[in-house]
Amino acid sequence: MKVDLDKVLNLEELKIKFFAANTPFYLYEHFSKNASVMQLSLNYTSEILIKYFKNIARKKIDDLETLVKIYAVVIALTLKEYSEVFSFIKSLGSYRFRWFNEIKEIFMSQSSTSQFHDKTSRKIIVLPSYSNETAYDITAFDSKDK
Amino acid sequence: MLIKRKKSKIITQTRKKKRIPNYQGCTLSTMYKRQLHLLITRKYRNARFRSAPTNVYNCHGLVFASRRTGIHKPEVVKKIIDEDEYKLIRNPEYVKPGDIILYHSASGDIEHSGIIIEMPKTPPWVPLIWSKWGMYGEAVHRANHCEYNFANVMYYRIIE
Repeated sequence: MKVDLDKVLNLEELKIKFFAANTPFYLYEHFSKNASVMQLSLNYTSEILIKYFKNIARKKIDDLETLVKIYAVVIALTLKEYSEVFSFIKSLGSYRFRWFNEIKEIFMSQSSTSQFHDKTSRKIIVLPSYSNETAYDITAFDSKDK
Repeated sequence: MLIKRKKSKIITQTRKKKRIPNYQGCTLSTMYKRQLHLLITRKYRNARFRSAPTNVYNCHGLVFASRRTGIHKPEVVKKIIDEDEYKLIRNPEYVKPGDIILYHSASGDIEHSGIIIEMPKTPPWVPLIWSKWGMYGEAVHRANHCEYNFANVMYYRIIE
């Protein structure tokens, strides 16, 4: 089965988001919630996507779209069943791409918080050692207080 | 193409002399810079991009590290806010030029930061800010006219 990412992915939208990312969490969140990435995950099996990834990842990347496709495929794979992609995601750190380690960590942290490793529970991003509750217990300040 | 190089870290510290984890991204080729500039300026015609795309620093690197490097983890930004003794400004009415704005995602990420240039004197409180958008260049823009979540922003200031 031939993978035709141009037909499935909304590359214009993904390109804008990809290069606007200041943090790996932003990239992961926006790609994993993107309808076209979800569709990619549904349309193709894990084996096909992994094969496709391995094929393009070893080539020289000389355009923006190919780079975005690589991340779209990896994040589409993180939306698959845990058991199907675990060993592949675990090996992401060995590739030369930016934030692959962080994507792996996000995937692992979501998987560890999900008892049953089902797809829907892994859509919530859990940031390691950081939460909204503890982030901002800073003394309130505004001019009126002075 | 992206010119690959070894991850380059620099020594940078908070006021309390704690290390700030950081790294400078790979160098972008002229062709990449041109493509990125076109991509973003086509979508955001009302933002004024004042510099070329670069991957050396990101928004947090602009705000907290004087453009020297990139800071990519929300917990590191939080540490800087704590240790540099930034104070939260609860009421946007009191925000002044030079204060900083942090954009939060629903999941707790600090996905963007910028420096206030001007806050309107009347509501709606949508300031004009100066920030850097990922690998794109630095932009002067309304705080709600960008790729980040303006629905959940917080303002901070260093008092002394």
